[in-house]
Amino acid sequence: MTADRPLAARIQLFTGKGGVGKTTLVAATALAAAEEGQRPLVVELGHRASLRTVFGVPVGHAPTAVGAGVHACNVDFDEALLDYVVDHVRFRPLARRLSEQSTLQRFFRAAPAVAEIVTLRRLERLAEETHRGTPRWDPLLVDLDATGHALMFLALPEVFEGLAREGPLRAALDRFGALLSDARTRLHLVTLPAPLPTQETLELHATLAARSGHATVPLGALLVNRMPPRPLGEVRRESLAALGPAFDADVALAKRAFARFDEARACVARLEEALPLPTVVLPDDRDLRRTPTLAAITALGRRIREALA
Amino acid sequence: MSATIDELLEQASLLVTVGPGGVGKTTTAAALALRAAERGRRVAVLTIDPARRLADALGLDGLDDELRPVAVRGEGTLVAAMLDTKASYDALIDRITTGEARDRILRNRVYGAFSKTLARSHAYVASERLYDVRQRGGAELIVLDTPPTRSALDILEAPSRLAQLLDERVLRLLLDQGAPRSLAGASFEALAQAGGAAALRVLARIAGQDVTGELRGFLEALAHLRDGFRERAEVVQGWLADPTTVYALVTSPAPTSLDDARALGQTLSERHRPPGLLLFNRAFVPEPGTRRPVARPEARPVPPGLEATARALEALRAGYVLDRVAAWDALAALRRSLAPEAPAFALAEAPGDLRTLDALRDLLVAPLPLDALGPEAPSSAP
Repeated sequence: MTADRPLAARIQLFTGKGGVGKTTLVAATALAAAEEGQRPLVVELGHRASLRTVFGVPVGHAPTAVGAGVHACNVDFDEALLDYVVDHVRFRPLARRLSEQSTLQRFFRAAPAVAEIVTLRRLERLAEETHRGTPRWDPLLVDLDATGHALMFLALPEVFEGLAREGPLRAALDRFGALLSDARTRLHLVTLPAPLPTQETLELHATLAARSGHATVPLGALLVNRMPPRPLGEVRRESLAALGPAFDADVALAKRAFARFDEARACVARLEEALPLPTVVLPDDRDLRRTPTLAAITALGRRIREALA
Repeated sequence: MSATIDELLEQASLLVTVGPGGVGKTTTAAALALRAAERGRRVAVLTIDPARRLADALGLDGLDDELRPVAVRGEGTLVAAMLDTKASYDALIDRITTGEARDRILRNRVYGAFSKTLARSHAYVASERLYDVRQRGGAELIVLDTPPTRSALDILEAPSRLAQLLDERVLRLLLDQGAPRSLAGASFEALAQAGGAAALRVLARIAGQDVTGELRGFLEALAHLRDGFRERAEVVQGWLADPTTVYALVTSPAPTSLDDARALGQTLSERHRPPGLLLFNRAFVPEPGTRRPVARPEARPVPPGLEATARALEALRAGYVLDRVAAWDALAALRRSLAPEAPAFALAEAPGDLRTLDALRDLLVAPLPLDALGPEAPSSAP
């Protein structure tokens, strides 16, 4: 069902190299979902400023309304750790005291994989929240930090392979595995039509594909952001040759723009050939890049929805 | 008059590049190191996950984290290494311990998990590697690249982190509950008395018996190395806090990059390490054949029949000029808010990927001081 409709997924993870415009596309997806009457929650991992830039309001650990029907939160390590300890030590004051105990807190900060585990537990909790019998958040849109982050989450069960064979950690890891590989979870890949992001996306896809047998996550859509428009509109490239030397610099710039454009098209072709995913190519919009207004981002979201409908 | 990049490269003994993802930070770190080396210094650059072509240009094959020499021009030298967490960890354990103790650590499953969880481990590795490279001597300048996330600044605390994991109080809490606790603070004393074993029980409840047992094994195996970790951590902290250490904030003019850069810059300043150099990558497109930003064209006679072509070209060029002016505005605002005194330079957008040392050299040949060409300056200045 969600196979051909990636935006129908309940939990949608967005991954991509830094600087590809991931946060903007997550926000766009959320705004368009809200327009359709859904209750989107954008989850940002860690304290980055990106989400605040888009919505213009600070975002904290608890979901807050950021406008236009969208809620957002980020995952704060200390709060998430407290949540996690509370899960296992039912006496909340003791849990708080333990998780606030500076020695243990520092220990947990320094210990491996704790951040990933408590983050996943937090996502699980947000997914479990209900309001009048229906899920409070739908969809849950997660802005992953970087390409490596998605792989880190997926690798958790292997990291603990043979270490946590039983007990609560094993149970939690199994639940996270189930959450990530759920039929209603999707991992969207965000990239740019440029050689390096394209290469990284192809490598990420290959790594994920090679994980068969391990915990895996169903892939959603491929979002190719900032596709440059054809330079010079309808003007034919050949007509550049007839201009005199006074236009040399302009012609050189135009050639550069055409080289970019050709390269971008080649990247999209490579991606489409290698990745069997529904693909949306979004145009590079100078105005959006310069002043990302909510209206412009919403329009982008509508475009994504229409393309994936 | 603020310092030039070359002056900074001459004086610094440690330069840390910090910045958001996708702005060319690793490339810039490599270009700075190359330039310093070709101006005669002995330089080491420690990079994070360089793009394949950059790694090739530096002669790094990505298989280990060894320092490899890069062929540079002139009297200086350059060695480069890429930090790979797993390999670096094993190398670290090899450096600091031997024989049975080493094997116990390498076999420990908590150690395995620890060295595999790259995301949070980078800072330990970077810190220990920095220590190692500095101690070996030979490098007058070390250029340290950091990962493109908020965790980049872990390095400022991380040197003490492994020491933290092996904190005396943690060890007491988890290993040595029967021992007298005279060294522990009073509040800890109270908690420990209330149930030192409670911490272990909680841990067992949260993580399970087998993890707790293995964790104790890990801590036991590493406990005797604790003083070493702490001493090295203190030394590295000292270098990172040294006033001669330069923090170079690298960003591009993309709005999200600017916001992330601002957040990183503020964190640096809060920790009393304000950025000492601002580098704005891909800040402009050079006019072909020059190193100056594209300017608005002068009026020129248009061959008959090519009016539409000429108009389209002018619109294209005007777009580049608009981008550059907007970028300049944004970069100037960032600089004012972060480090008004720090030298700030705009770098031209390089054509295509940087896949050769020549391309790396080119990046820093003609950095434009941000002061030299403000947004109000006539953009048609040829």
